[in-house]
Amino acid sequence: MNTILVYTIYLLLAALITVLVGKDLHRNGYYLILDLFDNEEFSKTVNNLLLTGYYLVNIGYIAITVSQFGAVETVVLAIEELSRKVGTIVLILGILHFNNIIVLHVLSKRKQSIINFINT
Amino acid sequence: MTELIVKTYIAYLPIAILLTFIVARIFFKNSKIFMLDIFSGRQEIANSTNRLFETGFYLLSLGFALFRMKINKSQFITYKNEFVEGVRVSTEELSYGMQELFETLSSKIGMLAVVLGLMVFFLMFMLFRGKKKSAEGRARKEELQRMQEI
Repeated sequence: MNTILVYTIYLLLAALITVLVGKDLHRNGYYLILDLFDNEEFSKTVNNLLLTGYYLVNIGYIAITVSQFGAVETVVLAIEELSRKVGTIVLILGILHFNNIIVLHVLSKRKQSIINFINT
Repeated sequence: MTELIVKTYIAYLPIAILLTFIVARIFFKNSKIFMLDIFSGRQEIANSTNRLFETGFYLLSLGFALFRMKINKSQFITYKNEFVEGVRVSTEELSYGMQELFETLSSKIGMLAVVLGLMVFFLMFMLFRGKKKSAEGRARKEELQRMQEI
């Protein structure tokens, strides 16, 4: 199979997944950040900055992995390589995503315990 | 032979995606009530946390499904050694028929289903733990208020 075609499919698919997931997280993560900062304008700014960093890291990583493709001469090999590469990226996204949720949760908990401490 | 391998992949992908979507829909339709309880009735943050967990669930399970898609072809290759005029000639043959297709497909789908089940149980454990923790936090807060009133 044509190597350039496989690369194009890979780049488009990976970028599409990244952008769709990023939009969803940007929309829903706002409330978690708002819960943490209690300031709408500041939360919006932080959310936008996080989205920018997310896009840069992910699309950069996708661009790096293009050069690590194996042989894609036949259709079977192309499917296998594509699935392995896209699967790796989606798995990394999932792990980072749960990591982010845990970090936000721990931060808001710490904030709550400080507030409780001040109140007593 | 390679046509059948491609057919296996083409059959595997929709089944895996459909399975993930069905499991996620059932789970996250029912987890909303837990989230409302954990965030003590705050609708917005409960809904968005539910959605965030749903996205993460999709990412992990579809990522696993894609990551484990490759068929290990070495188990279907048989090696034959023949002696032609005193010289050993070894040939390798890929035998991949309908039987192997069904066996591979069922083992891959089964693996994915087991992983999805484990993930669902883990998330259920997290939800129950969160429910317990939020109830404890609420009790502590009430106690603090009572102490301040006194």
